[in-house]
Amino acid sequence: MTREEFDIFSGKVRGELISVAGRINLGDGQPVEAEDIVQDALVRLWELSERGYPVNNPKALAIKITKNLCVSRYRKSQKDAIRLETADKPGGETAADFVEAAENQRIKSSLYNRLTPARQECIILRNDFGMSLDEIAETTGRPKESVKVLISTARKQMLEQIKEFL
Amino acid sequence: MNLEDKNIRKALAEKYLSAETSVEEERALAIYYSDHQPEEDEKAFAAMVTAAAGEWLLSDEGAKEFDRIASPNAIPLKTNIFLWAAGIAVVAAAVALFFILNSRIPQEKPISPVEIAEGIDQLMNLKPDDITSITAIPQGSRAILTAKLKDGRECSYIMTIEEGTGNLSLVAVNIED
Repeated sequence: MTREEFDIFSGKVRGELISVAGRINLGDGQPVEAEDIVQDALVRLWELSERGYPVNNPKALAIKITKNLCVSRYRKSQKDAIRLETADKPGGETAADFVEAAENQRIKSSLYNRLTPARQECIILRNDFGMSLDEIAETTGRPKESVKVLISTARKQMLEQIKEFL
Repeated sequence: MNLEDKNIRKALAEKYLSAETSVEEERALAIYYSDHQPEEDEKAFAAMVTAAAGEWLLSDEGAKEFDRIASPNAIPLKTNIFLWAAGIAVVAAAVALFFILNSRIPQEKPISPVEIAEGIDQLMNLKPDDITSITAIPQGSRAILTAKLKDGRECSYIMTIEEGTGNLSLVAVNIED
């Protein structure tokens, strides 16, 4: 898909994706920021396309990505709500938990940055995009067995680094 | 997969480190550890799984979870006996409604191919990954849309267009298990 084709496609499906994202609310009656999610979904779809992922049905894929982003946002909102409810209660979560949540992204970046480019690429496609080994192999042009070894090695390396943190 | 069982978690952890887990197993592990306090010997692994967790943009389970969260009262495709009973009642009501409407409104505007195409499009969007084909049978001002799912099951809907507003509605009449 070229950039021009993608822009035309985005214009056509954006309204429908916003309608999909608008179907979910965050539990407190607040709808998710549908337009933000759709923008994010379209960016991720373009990234997938750029990385060589076979985008056979862009609309179905855009809807799936939108749904997964909504679920991720929903889960986060549920967790934040629990944190707020328990923050001041004995035995509840403390300010350290808030810091921990905010730190997750920093830790993730730190772990990823220490990986070799090949391991990093496979781990991102696996963890962030949720691709299967076959899909990663197809996207990166590496044999499936190599992808599996790269991911396994990356995970073992990250685990050792985390043990040093703890 | 009962992740409350530590032996299952340990087995999955080993598979995870060998890159032998499925995407959905990894997603389940990350959700489990983000909701549960890990035991001492699992802390490092839990920290890694939750820190590395992404949004699983291509997860089928995530998309299904969306459908559960977004429409908690929607009829799931995998029905139980009670939903079957409800489904039969809906079919009976739809058939009755069909005859009533047919007898009381003799001259209705027939549904157009463009409207049917719009109905098919909306139906596709309900389950874009599960539907392999849709057939439409126009019946006066309505159309019966039958979606064939990847697993071989079929779902039928009565499609109508509201006069005046032009709003399209789809009523499930048969969800085959």
